[in-house]
Amino acid sequence: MDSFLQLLVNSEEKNIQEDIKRCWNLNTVIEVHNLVKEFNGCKILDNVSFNVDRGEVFGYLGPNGAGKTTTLRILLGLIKPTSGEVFVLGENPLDNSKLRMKIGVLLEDNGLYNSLTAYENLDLYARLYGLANAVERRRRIIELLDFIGLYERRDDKVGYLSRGMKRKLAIARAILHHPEIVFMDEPTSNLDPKTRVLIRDLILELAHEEKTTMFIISHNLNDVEKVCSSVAILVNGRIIARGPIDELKKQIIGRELAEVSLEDVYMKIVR
Amino acid sequence: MSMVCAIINMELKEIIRNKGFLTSLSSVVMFVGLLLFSSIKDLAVIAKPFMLYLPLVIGLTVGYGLSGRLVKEKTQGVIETLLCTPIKVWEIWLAKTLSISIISSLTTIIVSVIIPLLIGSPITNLYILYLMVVVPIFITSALGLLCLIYFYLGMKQIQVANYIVFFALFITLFMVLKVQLSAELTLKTVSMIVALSIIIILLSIYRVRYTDTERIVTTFE
Repeated sequence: MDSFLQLLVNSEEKNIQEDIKRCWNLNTVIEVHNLVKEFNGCKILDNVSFNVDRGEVFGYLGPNGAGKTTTLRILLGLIKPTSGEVFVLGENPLDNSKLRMKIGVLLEDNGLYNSLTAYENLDLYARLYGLANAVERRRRIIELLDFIGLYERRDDKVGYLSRGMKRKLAIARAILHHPEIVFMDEPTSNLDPKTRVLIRDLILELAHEEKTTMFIISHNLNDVEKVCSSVAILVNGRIIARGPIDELKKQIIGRELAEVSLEDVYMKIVR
Repeated sequence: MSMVCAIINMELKEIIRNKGFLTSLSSVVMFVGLLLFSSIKDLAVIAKPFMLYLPLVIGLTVGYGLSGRLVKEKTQGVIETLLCTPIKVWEIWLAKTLSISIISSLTTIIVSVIIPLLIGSPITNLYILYLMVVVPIFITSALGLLCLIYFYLGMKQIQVANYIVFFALFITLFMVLKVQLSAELTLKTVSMIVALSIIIILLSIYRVRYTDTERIVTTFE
């Protein structure tokens, strides 16, 4: 009888543990375990592991050539890892069309059609993301063009838009289909301060209002500090530090938070 | 298939509005104009042996010019962005190939009808059928193969491939001039062109279905 009771207790504990794990997994939208990627014998990513929770704005930092874009491409299912496991929304991203319906992407290059208008660019991607209803599609595109302040320029060819406008349009394209996660590679690169602030506000608005998870790659540490809740710092294919920004400041610099910037933390790690 | 149609629709708009296309089109118009005002007598007699092959060469030239945009799209991140959407690699390839082929075929058909009219060569029903069916199939097969090569190769490799293609074209032209070609539209010639085109299309479809996206996104430089 005792052993039966012990078994019952164990089983309940096991169930509780599994429930906790399941809840944790539901909250975790990006899981990367021991990721390794080699190109022609050269190790680009070396045992990279991290998680991103639902609704989090996560910064993925590192110097040029650290392996940030390679990680992004693996997360997007564009390239295969040499070893390790990657799950996005609990699924393997490789060749996964269903998963791609749930994610939005802003690459380093805008990838816009320059001879098409701003409206036509969004219309094409709306169709690709399965917004089949023409009225619904139009409503969403106009809503977004208004949101990014490009409604007045909707019929202008993209080639005639400024760099900042193109970037904002590419961001609009990334969030067109209400994705659960948005991956952004250098969202504020080469932009003037005013447009940078606009894009930063846009990211925060999305994270707060649409509860979208954001995975941001950036070299602009000032922007990252303002929008991200936690970061991972990658150096030579290895994650050297990760966690909430405030915790990293305390751990690495060990001084009062107000005196320390993310740049101080980053420079100390990268050096 | 609706995704493929959406891309074709936008690609056609993009091509027509592009300055590169207008430049190609004006070159063709100039070529026709030169023929019109040419003082060469008996042009029809000189051109007759080439009439069968001229549409193929025009189609390939126009298509080759337009397909350069695919390399540009690859370097500008358009292809990579498309690969991040639910559309599959082979669907992107199909949409790109068909959009370039449609424009190239239409240009070829129009020019290939105008030229015989200008030089006084007769236009038979068989010639019209040849232009409407065989020429588009041939152009689609060649451009499909070219798009596949552009998907696969890096920029330097593409430059090398371009030299090889031009070298091969010159060799072919030399061979064509050397051997006495049949100027007549025979069932044998047409069947050979169609068979060759279908084989190329099937091989390209087979290859593109197994294309690794890693090849496409890591071969810009």
